Amino acid sequence: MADPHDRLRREVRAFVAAAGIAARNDSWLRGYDPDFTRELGRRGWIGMTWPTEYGGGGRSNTERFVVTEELLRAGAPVTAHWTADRQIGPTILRVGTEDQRAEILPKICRGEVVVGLGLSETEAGSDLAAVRTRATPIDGGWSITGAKVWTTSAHHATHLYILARTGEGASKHEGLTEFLVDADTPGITVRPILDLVGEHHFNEVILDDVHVPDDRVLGTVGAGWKQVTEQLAFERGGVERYLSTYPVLAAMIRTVARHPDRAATERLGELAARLTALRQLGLQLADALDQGEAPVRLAAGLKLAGTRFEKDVVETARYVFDVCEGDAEAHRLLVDGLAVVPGASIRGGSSEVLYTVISRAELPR
Amino acid sequence: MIFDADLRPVVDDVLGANADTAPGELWALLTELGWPGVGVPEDDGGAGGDLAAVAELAAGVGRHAAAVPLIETGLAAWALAGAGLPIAATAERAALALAPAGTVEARRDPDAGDDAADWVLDGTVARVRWLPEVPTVVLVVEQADATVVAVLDAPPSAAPPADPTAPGSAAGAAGGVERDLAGEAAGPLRLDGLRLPADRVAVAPARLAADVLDRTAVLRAAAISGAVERACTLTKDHVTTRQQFGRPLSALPAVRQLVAGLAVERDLLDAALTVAVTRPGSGTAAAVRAVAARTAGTVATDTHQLHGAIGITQEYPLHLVTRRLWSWRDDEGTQRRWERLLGDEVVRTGSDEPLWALVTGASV
Repeated sequence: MADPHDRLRREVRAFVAAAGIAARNDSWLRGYDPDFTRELGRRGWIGMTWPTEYGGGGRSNTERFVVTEELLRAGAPVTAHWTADRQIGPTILRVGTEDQRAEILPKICRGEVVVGLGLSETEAGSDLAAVRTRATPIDGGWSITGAKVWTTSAHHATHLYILARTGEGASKHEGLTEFLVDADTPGITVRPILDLVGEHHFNEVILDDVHVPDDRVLGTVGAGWKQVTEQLAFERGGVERYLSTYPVLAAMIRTVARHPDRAATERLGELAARLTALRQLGLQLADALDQGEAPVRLAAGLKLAGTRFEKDVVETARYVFDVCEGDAEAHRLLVDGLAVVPGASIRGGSSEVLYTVISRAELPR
Repeated sequence: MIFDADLRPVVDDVLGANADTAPGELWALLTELGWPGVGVPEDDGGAGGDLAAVAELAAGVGRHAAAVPLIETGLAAWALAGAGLPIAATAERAALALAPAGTVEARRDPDAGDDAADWVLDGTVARVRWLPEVPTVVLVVEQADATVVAVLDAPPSAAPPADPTAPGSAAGAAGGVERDLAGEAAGPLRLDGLRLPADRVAVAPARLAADVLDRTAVLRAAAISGAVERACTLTKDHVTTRQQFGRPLSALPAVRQLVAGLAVERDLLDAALTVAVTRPGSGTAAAVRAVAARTAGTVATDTHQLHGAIGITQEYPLHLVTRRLWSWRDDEGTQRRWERLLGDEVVRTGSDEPLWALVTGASV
């Protein structure tokens, strides 16, 4: 039975093979390459699911799924457009104004927009609704003051997505609003936060009386919480939640084929079985998005199980590269992978938060 | 997991209403409904229906802990049809004996020397579920270049070992019926020069043995998913009604996390089943069988933990499904055996192509 997307898949593979990519883990977060991103844009592989009138491809989430899984399989550098393509573009489509769609979406599709996500703060991590960054009304817009942390690619960003408090309500989930701020607006300072191996991907973003016009509000003032939780279905449910350490897995296959070992083969079989299940869950999520659903519960399960899988890939590789004599490249990928996995089950919703999301669905109070 | 939305409510009606019906009576009812022939083409004497329909029946057997050889009889009939033999021999229940290459020798009687000659069978199949409680065993012998399928009369239940020299008879477990942890009969099939007339044996393409094994793996996984579903339902009911510290157990964060973890395990098993049913093949069958074995262990452990002491009593129904999970997960090989099978396929070329083809189903 031929896969209906084989042709698209072949195109992506041919492109990836010709690009001569040095695979790395976590290439959607640690692989910033604006030239590569623009090339993907020229081929129509950014904003694939968006309407053609906004520069999109008018294609299905399932087709986008095929493209993203082939790119991450190769460990391709896709960081520059990842956030805009995955969640901010879809948010603009869902809740944005016609002007916002017409202005920003075509630029994203061309690979010209880099979005930094301003969600977490020093006192609002897993407890996202505790954000203190405040937007106060001024003439014709808003003044935003506060500080965001863990903002990937803010030092490259053209736009910053900011979740800010615009009012008070009975609960802390009320009175939040989403903004899309031009990164060159006066009052924005970006400071690097080096990760545990000294690489610069994260940033702190300080906003000091940043003036933002009304037309940079995303959706409805005060409805930020509902909008952001829907956005998380996009953020949590993608292929990057189980393929971040795929280059290590591929290196294990090379290694065991060269130095056969029964126990190592069994472990690869275990990982292959789990990956088969995870990939099907990912496909189901893409299908659900095509049906217009925001499958929050399923996305939480995928991220929880997927990041556990990513960790197990790296742990298994320690053993496999030992008994089957992994080469220098294999060991390089293992070290690279070890640095990736602690963050995998934290970013985009920690496993503990995901357990809570799932248990609420399973055991409603 | 819903494999066949039309069939599922029927399965629940029939098996739910007959939880205490005697196995013989239940079998008569299932036969009347045509269930044993589901999945076997109508032209071959079956009831028709796709793999999803058979999987729905298998899941029902798991969900309702039905003590009938529905899965095995269906597989036996499917194997017979695949080899061009009449399926009527399975009408009164049948067991399926899978003989991997080298375990059973099947040869024509060398003294006769024509196509009508008797067959002679030698060897052992270590464990056959439902033997010797069923009247018929369908033996599937894997050979290098062919599959030999044979119809054997099983020895009668709880009787002394049958006379192995009687035509068409196979020796079962010595000294009565052995029962496994699931409470289901199971025993070794020993063939010591058993002679079978030619009309009870067929030679089929080599692929058939692998196809029967794959189908068995998928249906066992479906049955496990049914038992898993029931164990989880019982657990949710228990933790929401059982009060401790003045509130239901489900108010405790540690309990809630364990329940959420069960839901994720079920998501994964259901996903692997979806792949195996929509893209049948040796890789996807081994994958779902490995995932099912893993899930069976985790779910049995955690649902017992969440039930506390009541769960390990005879009167509470959790054991009906957890004992089956412990038993079924090791049928046709344990988790590691299936993982090795899959691992061999994955490392076959040294590139990640076989893995990627398995995972995505892409044919490029």
